[in-house]
Order: sequence, then structure tokens, then C-alpha cells
Amino acid sequence: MKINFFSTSGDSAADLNLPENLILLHGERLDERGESACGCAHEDSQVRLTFGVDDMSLTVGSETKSSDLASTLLAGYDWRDVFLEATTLGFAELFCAANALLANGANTLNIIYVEPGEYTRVSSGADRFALSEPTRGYVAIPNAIVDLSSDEVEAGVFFLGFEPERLDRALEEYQMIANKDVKLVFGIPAYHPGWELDAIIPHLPALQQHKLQLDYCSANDPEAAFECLERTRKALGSDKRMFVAPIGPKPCGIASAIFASVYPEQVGLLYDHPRRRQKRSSGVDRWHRFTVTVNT
Amino acid sequence: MQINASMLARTRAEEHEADVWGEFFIPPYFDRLALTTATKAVYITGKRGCGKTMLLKYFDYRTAFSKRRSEIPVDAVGHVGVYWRVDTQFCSSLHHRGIEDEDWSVVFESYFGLVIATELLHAAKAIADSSFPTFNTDDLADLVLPSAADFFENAPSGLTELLKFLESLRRKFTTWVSNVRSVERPILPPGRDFILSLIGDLRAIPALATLSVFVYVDEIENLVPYQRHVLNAFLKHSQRPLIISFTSKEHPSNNQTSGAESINATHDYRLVDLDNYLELTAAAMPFFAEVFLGNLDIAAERFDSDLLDVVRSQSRLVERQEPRYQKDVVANMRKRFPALTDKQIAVNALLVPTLKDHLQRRISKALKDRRSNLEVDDFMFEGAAPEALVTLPALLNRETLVPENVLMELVAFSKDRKGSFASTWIHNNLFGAILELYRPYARECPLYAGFDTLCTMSNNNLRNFLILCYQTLEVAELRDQTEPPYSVDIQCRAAYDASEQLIKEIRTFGRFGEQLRVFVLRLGSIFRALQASPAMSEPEQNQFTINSGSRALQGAELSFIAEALRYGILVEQLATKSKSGVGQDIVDYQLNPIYAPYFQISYRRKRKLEISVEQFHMLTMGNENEYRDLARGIARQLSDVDALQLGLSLS
Repeated sequence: MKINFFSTSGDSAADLNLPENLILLHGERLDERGESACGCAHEDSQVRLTFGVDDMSLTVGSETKSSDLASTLLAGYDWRDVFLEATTLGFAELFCAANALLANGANTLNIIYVEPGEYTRVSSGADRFALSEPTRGYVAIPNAIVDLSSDEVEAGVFFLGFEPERLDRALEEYQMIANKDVKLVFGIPAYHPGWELDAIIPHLPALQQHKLQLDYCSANDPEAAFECLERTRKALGSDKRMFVAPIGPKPCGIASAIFASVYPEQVGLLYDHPRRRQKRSSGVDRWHRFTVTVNT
Repeated sequence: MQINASMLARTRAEEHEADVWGEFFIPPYFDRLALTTATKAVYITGKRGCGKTMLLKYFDYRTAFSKRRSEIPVDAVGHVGVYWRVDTQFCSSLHHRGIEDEDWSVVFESYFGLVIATELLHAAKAIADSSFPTFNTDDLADLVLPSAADFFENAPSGLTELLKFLESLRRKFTTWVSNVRSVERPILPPGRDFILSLIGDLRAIPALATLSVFVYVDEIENLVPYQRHVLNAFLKHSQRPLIISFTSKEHPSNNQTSGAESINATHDYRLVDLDNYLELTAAAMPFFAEVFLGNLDIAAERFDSDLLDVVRSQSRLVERQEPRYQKDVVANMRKRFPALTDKQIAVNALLVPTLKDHLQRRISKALKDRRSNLEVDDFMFEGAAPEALVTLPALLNRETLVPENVLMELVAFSKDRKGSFASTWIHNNLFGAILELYRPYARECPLYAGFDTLCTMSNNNLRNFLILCYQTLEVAELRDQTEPPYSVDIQCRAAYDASEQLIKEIRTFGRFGEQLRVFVLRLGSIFRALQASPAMSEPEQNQFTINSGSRALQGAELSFIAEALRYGILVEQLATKSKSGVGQDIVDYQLNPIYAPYFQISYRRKRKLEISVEQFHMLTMGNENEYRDLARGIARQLSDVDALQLGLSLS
């Protein structure tokens, strides 16, 4: 399997060389960058995706089925025209879409991501961020389900962001993780200098309490995140699996979604489906177009 | 003494390997558990941090047949424990997805069978590899398990091969669960029957003739209802050689089985409440002391210390119950974590110029507010008893007391220790008065020091106790005073830090985590405000009871209380006397005393706040505006002067 990442970045959608006739699979527009990102496709070419956490369903436009059937739901879309709008898509939707498109024969995935100017803090000058509503807890995503109680799962990778409670809750509720080879990955360099400290400092108590390894990859580079995951996968014993918990920067989530799609036998996902807050960020910064080619 | 602090930071059982032989501290209630001789299922409950996981690891076959265990009795096979902590996110994926619960139910039974059968074969291997006298690796090599072939055409009969076969089947099963619509479902064994058949094969060997498997399913409360019903049915029909037991943070709530029956504590299982067992032994204090001192030995690499030998030997439990032993171990801790009496604190406080000034200012202000002609100096006479002086701001703020009389009482008490100060005033007010005196020095109030206090604040919870102790060691190291005894300053700063850390941690407590954290902050703030009322007419409020309102508590509110109790945020107490004398307040809820230092409120169980159902709703589920309204409402219970000064009476 050969996976290649190509990226184009710029200050606006115009810098991304987007085709005229693209179909944009998007999620909820919560902030300015979400509005801007969705604006790069005609309104009638925008298709909303929603993952139903309670019943593991997927809604594409107005049609809802078990997310096991994501490929059926997306069968009518030509993958050559489809762009995944990762700024607004939640991680579960992003994985379902990427996995379904690949299952439907895609060998290229196009993804758009827009960085924010600033993430919203709990209050002005506070060291905590107001990005998510209380998390609903870890719920499996079909096609990437993993049984953490099994010895077969021997390693795991957490991509971490600004919300330490998400890691803490995983370690609290899935104590069997403690016996696995677990790596915490911080996005370094971050989108902006200084943001890496906002991610590392709140996670220090967890680092102190648990035997966890550390790794780093650029926050806005899915390829670097993918390579980081590959390092763990290549170290797996025969017939062993790993889990990935993409609870950090979205570009790491993009890498995780593709990684879990291309290695379904070895990789499962652990995800907590936070309800992302309205106005979770302000401003619009760098625009990215990631093109991922998958050749078997 | 050189210690490895990182070893102490790990207060959690999951940080230990599955084999904890030689690492487990035998709890004082150990003999009461009688798990190895049980003939029916048990339902083990215990709050987070009570030592439940470590206990179950101790009873798991990996520890019972540890390679490190030099002698294993032949009857050990009568209890082959399997501790299974379920992965709740995986189990919840066996639900919905276009498949009916009835079908999932069959799948879940098979999954259970597959997991436990694999564990059973691993257990047989562990027995052979251990010092168990009558079954060794040669016997294992000769072992034949013919019954697996009754369930799978191509199943091998040798243990190692069958183990590989089942592990491979489990991988196929996981792959199918992940892709139920695109992968063919593998042929799976029926759950219980499959396990019983394998047990039957093992029992055919004379050395294993009495083998019985005890499965302890953890996190039972977080399973999907139909899964719970399947396991309830297994529990109901448990008897040797296969007994399915549960462990949980909470008492049984879902008793339905997959059939028409239900399970109950009298007939089907024995309820083992670990928190209650510890309380009944009245040995929590010496046990906590032993665990701390034992861990200190481990961190200092004194692995063969006498203490470690005593606390880790099942056979030496009796020695540990002797009063003299317990007295010594507690005395050791009291020496390391000394306390000051309330009176000593008052004496010391008046020797600190800033605290004395602060007290004088508050007395002056109270006299002014009462329009008294007396001056603060009239009270601060030579020989005035400090423990009485400290209570003066509260007493002088009370409309019912005349300042001149208070002065008279102070003179009388200072002279011959008689009068109202001696009978009730000091007893009722000194603790609260000290909290108020130290309020400007928020993080270092000397009331939160001493081994006994640490135990009270821990509320019988081992993990919270260890966090308090280890935090003390950390602060001591930062202040370059690493040798015990740890000063009161160090201890109370550590108590504040630990309390703050534990409040932050609430966010991770399940689905209501953030809501529970906000609730603690709100409730603590209200108690702090009530405590800080100038007249301190109701000092040391740290409990509430819901005893009025126009309706009963509803679903979401009851779930919230259940969740708060489950995570030990609230402690349920039988009611103390009610002010109103009416109502149905049979239960008081105390804010877990571990949070007291953060809010500078009392950790002692003293007084309660009576609130209505509607007020409770606002406290738990109201937005910020509604909460502010609630605070105003509670402020109305105070005198106007108090409410105004507390900032609760917002116009």
C-alpha cells in the first residue's frame, strides 16, 4: 500500500486551485472559518454529513442509515468530484466519508481544512479553551471498532489538543490502556508559536501519573501524523492491533481517518464525539488543500 | 531518605501489572470476603479509589498462580479467578446497526464465552507454569480438551493449539463486529456451555478435579441493558464450577435477566460492599497508615522491610489486628503528620502580627456595626484567652448577644475557664472562627493538618488519602524540608493542592463529568459563603438535604444524585436533625470532605443546609443566572447584614 500526501496552502480558497464542479461534504458551520470553508462550493453542491452517536448512524443529506452502510450512502457521489470539508466535519463523519469513498474505489481523496485565527478561551486571558460541550464519552465508530480488553491490541496513539479531560477520561474509563504501549502525540510545531504550550501544560498531570511515551508531529501536516502512526504500526507484533484516538488537531484527525481506512485489520479508533461549541474559534487563517493518493 | 517519587505518584491499580503477587496490601476485611470458598455469586461494590481493582487483581489467576509465589496449596484450583474489565465502548457497539437486540444477545453470549474460554486456557497454562504441586508443564503438554471439537469442526484438542485457535477466532470476531455489513459472521461458540465443557475437560485430570472458575465482570453498570440481562442470567445460575460475579462502583440497580426471572441479593448473590466492610472493621486508619508506610518503603527500595512482609502476608492479618500493633502504626503516622489542636492554632495565630491585626479589625468593625461604646482594646486585655478571642467577631455580630455581656464572659473565661465560652461558644464556634481568621491566607489554614484529619478528609477512601500524603511529600520537597515530621504549613498547603487537583479531575467522571464539577464548585461556594457570614450563626455547613418543594425529585435529578454518589462527590448520610422538624429529609448529602480545603469549609460533619427540590434543580442544572438567583434565595435565609457582606444579596 502506498499512501502519498500532497498539500497546497494559501491565504484564501482561491489559492487552493479548487475545481468549479466540486461536491463538498461538510459538517456543522460553527464559526467564521467553517462558514468561509463551506463557501467554496455552490450551495446546491454542499452535502451535510452527521454521525448519530446514540445509534452509530450516518446521515448524508437527508438520508440516514447505519454508518456500517456509509459506502451505500455515498455510492451516488463520484469520488473524483468530492471534497471533504474537514474544518466543519466532525472526526466520525470524516472517517465514515473517507472510508466509504475508498471502499467505493477512490484512489484519491481531496480534503480542505482552514486554520482559525484564534481558538476561543473560557474567558479572556484564561488558560482553558471553550471548544467542546461536555463530552458524551467514547463510542465506537463502525468499520474501525477495536476491543481494548483484548491482548491483541498492544499499542495506541493519542493525538492531543487543548482539552486534557478527553485523555483523562479515556485513561479513567479504559484502564486496560495502561498495560499497552501508548504514545501521546503533541502537534509541534503548532499552528502558531506558543500554542504548543497550551496543549502540553494541561496534560502534564497525566504524564506524571501514567507510563506514557511522547512523540511530536507538525499540527497542520497530515503526512507527518500519518508517518507517526506508521512508526507504531510497524512495531506491532504479528496479528496484533493498535488503536488511534484523534482528540487533537484536525490534520492529525485526517491522517487518523485515512490510516484506519487503509489498515482496517490492524487499526481501530477510540473517539469521544464531543459536541463542538458554536463560535469555538474566531478569524480565518491558513487554508489547506490536502490530496491523498492511495495505491494498493 | 532517598525515595523514588515517581513510584509514589502512581496511586492507581492499573499502573500495576496483572500479577500483583507480593505487591498487594491485604486489607483488614480480607477474611470476611471469603471469595475463594464461595458457592454462589458475589456483587462487589466499592467507590472509586477504594482498592477494588487491586483486590480483584489479587484474586485473578495471574496472581494466584504467579511464578513469584513459592508455595501454592493444592486447593488453590478451587478458585481460579478471572478478572474481566469489559471495554464498554466495544460492548456498546454490539447494539443498533440494523441488528435486533435479540440477535445481539446471542452474539454477546458468544463473545463472553470466547473471552472467558481463552482466559481459562491461559489460566491452565499459568497453573502449569507455577509452583502448583500436582500439575506441571509436562501435564499441560499431555492435556487433551476434546469437547472443543463438539463446537467447532476443526478445533484442535491440545491446549496451546486450541488457545491459538480461539485467539484467532476472537480476532475474526472483532473484525466482524467492526464490519457487520461487509464481513461474514464467524461461527461462534455458545457462551456458558462452551466454558463449562472446557472446565469439564480440565476437571477430568485428577489434579484439577476440583477446579472452579470465578469470573469477576467489572464495569457491569456501563453495559447496554440487554448485555446486563444476559450476565444477570449467568449470575443467577451460577454454581461451582462456574460462578459469574459482578463488580461495580454502585449498588445493583438493573436486576432483570434475559429470561422472565430477576436476580436478588438473598438468593442469587452475596453483596460485598468494600467501603462498608472497611468501615465495619474500624481499621481504616491503621490500614491507610500501613499502605502509606509500605509504599514509602517500596519507593526507598526497602523491598524486604518488616512492614511490607506483615502487610502483604495473608497469614499475618491477625497480628495486624492487635491493638498494640495498630497503636504503633498510627502513632508513627501522627508523628509524621502532626496536628495542632484548635486552641493551639488560636494561640499561634495571635502571635502572628498580620493575623492579630486582621482579628482586631474584624472585632472593631463588629463593635461599630453594633453601635457599641466598647473598643477592641477592651477585649484584647492581658491574659485574654486566645481561643475565645478568635470567636469574638462572630459572637459580636450576633444581634442576640450584648457586647458588654460578651466582654464579661471573656473576662470570666480567661480568669477561671467558666461561663458561656466554656460551655458552648468555643465548642460551637472556634473551628469556624479559625477558618474565617485564615480566609485571607486561603491556601494555608492549619485546620487541614494531622494524620487524623487526613483520614477524615479522605472519608475512608484509600486513594484520596494517598493523594493527600504524597502531595505533602511533594510540597515538603519543594520547600526543601524532606524529612518528617511535615510541618502543619506544608500539610495544609498540600491539602489545598490535592483538593484543587481532585476538583479538576471531576471533569473525567463519566457522562455528567463537567456538570458534576460545576455542581461541586457551586455547592462549595454556597457553603463557603454561608460559613463566611459575619455572625456565623450556622458554622460548618457542608451538607444539604432536600426537604421541601412543590414536586418530587424527577428522573434527571435522581440520575444526577446517583451519579454524584457513584463517583463519591456526595456522601450519603443518615439525616442529622432537621431545623424545620417536618418533611421527608431522611437523607443528608455531604459534599465529600476531600473538597473542603479548596473552599475553606469544614470537613467535619456538622450542619446542613435545607433546600427545596426547585433549588436543587437550579444548583445542578440551572444556568449561571438561575444559579445566581438561587444564591440570592439562600442569602435571604441569612440576616441582611450577612447577605450584604457576602455579596449574595445582589440587587
